[in-house]
Amino acid sequence: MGLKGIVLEVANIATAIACLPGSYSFDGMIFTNALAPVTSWVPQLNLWWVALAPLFPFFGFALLICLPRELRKTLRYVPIACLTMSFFIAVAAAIAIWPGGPVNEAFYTLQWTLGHIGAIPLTLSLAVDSLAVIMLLMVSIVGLCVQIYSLHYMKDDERIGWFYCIMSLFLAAMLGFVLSGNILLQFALWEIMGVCSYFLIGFWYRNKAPRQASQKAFLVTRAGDVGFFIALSAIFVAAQSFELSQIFATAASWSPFLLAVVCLGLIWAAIGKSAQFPMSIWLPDAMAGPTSGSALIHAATMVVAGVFLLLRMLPVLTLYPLAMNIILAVGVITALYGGLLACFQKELKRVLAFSTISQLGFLFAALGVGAGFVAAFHTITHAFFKALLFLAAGAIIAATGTKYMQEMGGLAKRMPVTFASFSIGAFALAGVVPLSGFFSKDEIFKALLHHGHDTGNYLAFAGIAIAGALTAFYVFKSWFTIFFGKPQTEGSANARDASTLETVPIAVLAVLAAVTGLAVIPLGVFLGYPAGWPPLYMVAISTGVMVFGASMGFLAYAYRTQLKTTFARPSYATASAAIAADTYLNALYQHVIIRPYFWLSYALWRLDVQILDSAVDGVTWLYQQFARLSYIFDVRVIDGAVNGISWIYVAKTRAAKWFDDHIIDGIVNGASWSFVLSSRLARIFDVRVIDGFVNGLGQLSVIIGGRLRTVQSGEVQWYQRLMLGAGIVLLAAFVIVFVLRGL
Amino acid sequence: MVVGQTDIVSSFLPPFQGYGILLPIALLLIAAFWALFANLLPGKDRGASLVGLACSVLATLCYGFSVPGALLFGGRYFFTPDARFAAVIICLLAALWCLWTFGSGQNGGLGRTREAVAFAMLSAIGAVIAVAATDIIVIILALELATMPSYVLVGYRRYRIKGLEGAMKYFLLSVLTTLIMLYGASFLVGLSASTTFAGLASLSNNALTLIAVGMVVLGMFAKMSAAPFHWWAPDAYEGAESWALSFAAVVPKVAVTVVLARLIFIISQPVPQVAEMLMVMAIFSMIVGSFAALMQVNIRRMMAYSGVSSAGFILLVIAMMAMGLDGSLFALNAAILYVAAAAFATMGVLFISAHEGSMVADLNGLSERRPGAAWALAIIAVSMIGVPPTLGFFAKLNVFLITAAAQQYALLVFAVVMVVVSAFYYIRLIRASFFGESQKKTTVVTDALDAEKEGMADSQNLAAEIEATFTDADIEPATSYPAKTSYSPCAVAAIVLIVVVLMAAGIFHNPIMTFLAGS
Repeated sequence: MGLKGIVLEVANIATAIACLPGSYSFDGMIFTNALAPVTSWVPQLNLWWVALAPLFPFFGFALLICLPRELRKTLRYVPIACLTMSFFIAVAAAIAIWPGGPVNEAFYTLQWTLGHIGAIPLTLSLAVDSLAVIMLLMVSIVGLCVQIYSLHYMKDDERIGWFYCIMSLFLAAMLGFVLSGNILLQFALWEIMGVCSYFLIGFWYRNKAPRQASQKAFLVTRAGDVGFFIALSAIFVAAQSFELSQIFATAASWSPFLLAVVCLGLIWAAIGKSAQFPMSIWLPDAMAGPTSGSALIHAATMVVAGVFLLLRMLPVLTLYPLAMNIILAVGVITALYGGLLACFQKELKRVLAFSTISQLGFLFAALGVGAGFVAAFHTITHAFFKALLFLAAGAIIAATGTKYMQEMGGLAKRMPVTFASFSIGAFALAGVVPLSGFFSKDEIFKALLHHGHDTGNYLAFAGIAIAGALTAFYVFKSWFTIFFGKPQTEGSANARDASTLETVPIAVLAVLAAVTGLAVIPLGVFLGYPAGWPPLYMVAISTGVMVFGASMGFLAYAYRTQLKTTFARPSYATASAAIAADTYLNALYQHVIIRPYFWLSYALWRLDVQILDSAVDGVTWLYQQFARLSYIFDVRVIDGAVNGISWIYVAKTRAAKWFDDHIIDGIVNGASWSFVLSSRLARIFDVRVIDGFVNGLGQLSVIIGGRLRTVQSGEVQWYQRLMLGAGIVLLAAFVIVFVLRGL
Repeated sequence: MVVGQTDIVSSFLPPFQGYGILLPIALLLIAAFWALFANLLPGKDRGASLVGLACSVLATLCYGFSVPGALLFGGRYFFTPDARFAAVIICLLAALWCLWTFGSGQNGGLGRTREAVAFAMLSAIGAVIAVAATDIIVIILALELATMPSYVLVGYRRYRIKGLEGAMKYFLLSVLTTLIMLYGASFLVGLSASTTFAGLASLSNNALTLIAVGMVVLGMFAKMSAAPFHWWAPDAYEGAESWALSFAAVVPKVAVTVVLARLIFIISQPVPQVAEMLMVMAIFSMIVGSFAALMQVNIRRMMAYSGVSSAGFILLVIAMMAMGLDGSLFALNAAILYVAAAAFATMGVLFISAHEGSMVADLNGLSERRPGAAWALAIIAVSMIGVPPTLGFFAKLNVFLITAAAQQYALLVFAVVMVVVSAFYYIRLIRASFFGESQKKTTVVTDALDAEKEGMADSQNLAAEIEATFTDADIEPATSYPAKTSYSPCAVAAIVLIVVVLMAAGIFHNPIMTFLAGS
């Protein structure tokens, strides 16, 4: 029966017990809940349980957000447990669909119709293919490492519960994003990720830099989302559906105009999300957030989403050659630009940030030549070693107390575990044999080299090769500066390895970063691509590139004092500082977008003041005139009338007094006698009857009333939370009952 | 054509059918604008109240003699008999309130009231539009028009910190739930591809529809202060002034109840599951309302929980309606009758509280001080408990009959027990006013009283500061909010009318149900 058999059996039993309502279609077949005996698993494979992978972290988020801060802090283990469940589901999914198949073709889809917009069904759909499963595995592993690392790394922060809450939602959104078989759902989750990154980057919102960085990130990625939205609209017009299967099936017959709009919109969106040139400006600033949050954004979630979107839509993009060329060009430019700027950085985290930009450029270049498997492979290896580098960098910065690399030094002996792990990550990034980065980068070189034989392609290959050399350069330069030589500050001299809670996740990632590359053949099989060991000439090319860059990096380190004197000259100093701060691109934004925007606002404001205000002044003048007239009317006319009325009133009062003295007093005396009698009767009633009741109920009501009073604390936030919590519980119960009844 | 009194009268008054039924809205609008410009017009504050009174009495008569059944604006406004009844009730409540402010405003000891009248009239306009609206967008706009002025009324004395706090809480929590409601409504509009009730009736029954419907009714639960969405009510009510609250706590609630009942009447056909949600909410509200009210020392807080409890009974009967009985139209009418009974009684209690003070302990010795007020309070409380022959009895009887007809015996027993529990806190009102002097107050009560007085002193200091900042001839000194002020003849008339309505509506229950059913 084997492991796969067991997993499938369990899955089918679970399906029979608690199947989601609605209709399912597997490979186009409508599948009802009655389970036929499993003879051949492929067409009947029921993978609805993979949907639980994003739902578990979402549950963690939903639980934490309803709780007050203290309780949230206590329950920060819940998201970790939830993500562990997602990891197991990912493993089970991988076993279930083993041995995999080609990307985007072996869909096991599950549709759940939510409702109809007009006549078009609005569906939530799940598309499980080898790509989605491999991404699930990667995201859940990296997410778990980051979450465990944060237990210790963020332990002194009083808002750690909020941090876990947001991370959980972030991961839920990413897991859902990779599993989604519907581009509308993808868009929704994409937006949720944008919001989460806003919260994570601006986590320390009391400081100015994180606040500004979070706004910048949110606005720039939002600008990218416009592209997504345009693409979405065009897709809906062209395919009459948001389903991926429908999109792929009809894409070949779309009109060229719609196809162009879709492709360019999607590229625009991916450029924003994946921080490609020229929308890369948000990513380096995003370093203002907590380091473990950065690890998540850079390795597993946010920036990967853009690449993943293009990867998913590759069947559509390949139909439009211009789009592929744009992707390739953007990728090469970004790889060079990111690599170049990384060489000039002084802060460790900024080096890693620009390195991410550059590596994402590599991914875009691979996508641009249509090498889907290569892009997926490098995404995974990059996720592992980049998460590792960020977590290790966080540990180093916390241990030395400085973020500048020149102030570190000599940490190899002082932080041995971190040193070993960081080295594996750095070598993998630089592409040293036989670490994972070597294999994946090698595949990229190969894909570029074999793509075509015109000038453009050779230029692209040359660009990527130079970017590879730059990568090796900045990696080795930083590596030598941090770990060798003498400690430059007190903090660096006293640095020690962090607690086990931090080093274990780093070490796990180090192992993965080291060995993933060796699994290139099984991964190729799983993703349906004939991958093989790199041919010798490729090894020679890429190793040559790497060695050249690395030796340059070593020289830059060895002659750092001389270089420092050179760069101390004013002309060089200004330029290098400007490059390091990415000033030019930011200035471009300043002049092209921000300034004109403010000019326009100012012009509109002036317009408002000049025209509207004068109108308002005119009305005020009219009103004053009216008030004056009405005053005259009041004094002259109404006062006369009032004097007449007052005479009548005096006469009326006299009459009323007579009536009061002679008639009402008599009635009142009669009534008061009846009151005396009734009150005596009522007192007897009170003592005998009411007191008895009240005392009996008193105990109960004191208890319940007291409880209710504590809840009614008078704090609006607490009431809002109670209302939202009650609403969520109510709606959830409502839907769960509906679902159970559908069985 | 059926020959009846209504037809004879309407033949003399041709405007009150078809689009003519919009005429009363214009009357109320005139009153609102008059009140807004009252300080430029003769009579000032009292003039505003008088015009408000005249217009709402006229509007009451117009609605009373109107012909129901008009389907206006392409099915967006359906003036059914129950909408007519609700509109009559709303206009009558507005008239009573204007009568009371006419007696007490300006020189009657209450100070500036003209904006309050304006806001009350605007709120009444929102309410009478909402009760007949059959379009989701119109409903939401009208409900907002009905509730937004009541935020202002709750914080009407801007120099009283407690009032502002209450208004702020009311505003924030109400906005939150309104947003949820809007969000749900946007789904409903999308799913049915239509904004009218006719579109809602054709919704398909799936999870998204459920969530959307749930979100829409959730907003309405909050507006009618059903537990657990009632949190704003006790704090807002406590901070408000009784006289302003007597409108703000009553009219929007009537509107939202009628709207909910009409919406559920339509939506329970495609989405029958909504009945269970209503039942759960009903049980919650009855428990929370009845038990929490027992412990209150402040009359307005007590009335807030009393409102929660009435919301529970109303939701119970709406839930029974949603289960699709033969007499579900009768259940719809019963819900409207119940909210009318609760509305008149609440207004009466708050009028008396405006004169006597905020605390239950302030009622002590009322029967010796002002026997008339004590007896009026007793009759109102008896109506709220549900003793024949008051309107409250028949309202509760309808609820029980409908629950029994739906064969929900467990709920029936539960509701009866909750009526008994709620009787205790209504009896506290009677007990304080008739036997209060013989009992020594507990320390809690005196503490609360002291706190209240201290708060008043603080707020009056602050008021002086604010006056110094915004020097304006129109600002009165902060002498309003006097406890134990004398009753003006109009206030007496208003309270007597409420008592008469409660008694008469009970005695003439059958004709009223006939009017409500429109036959």
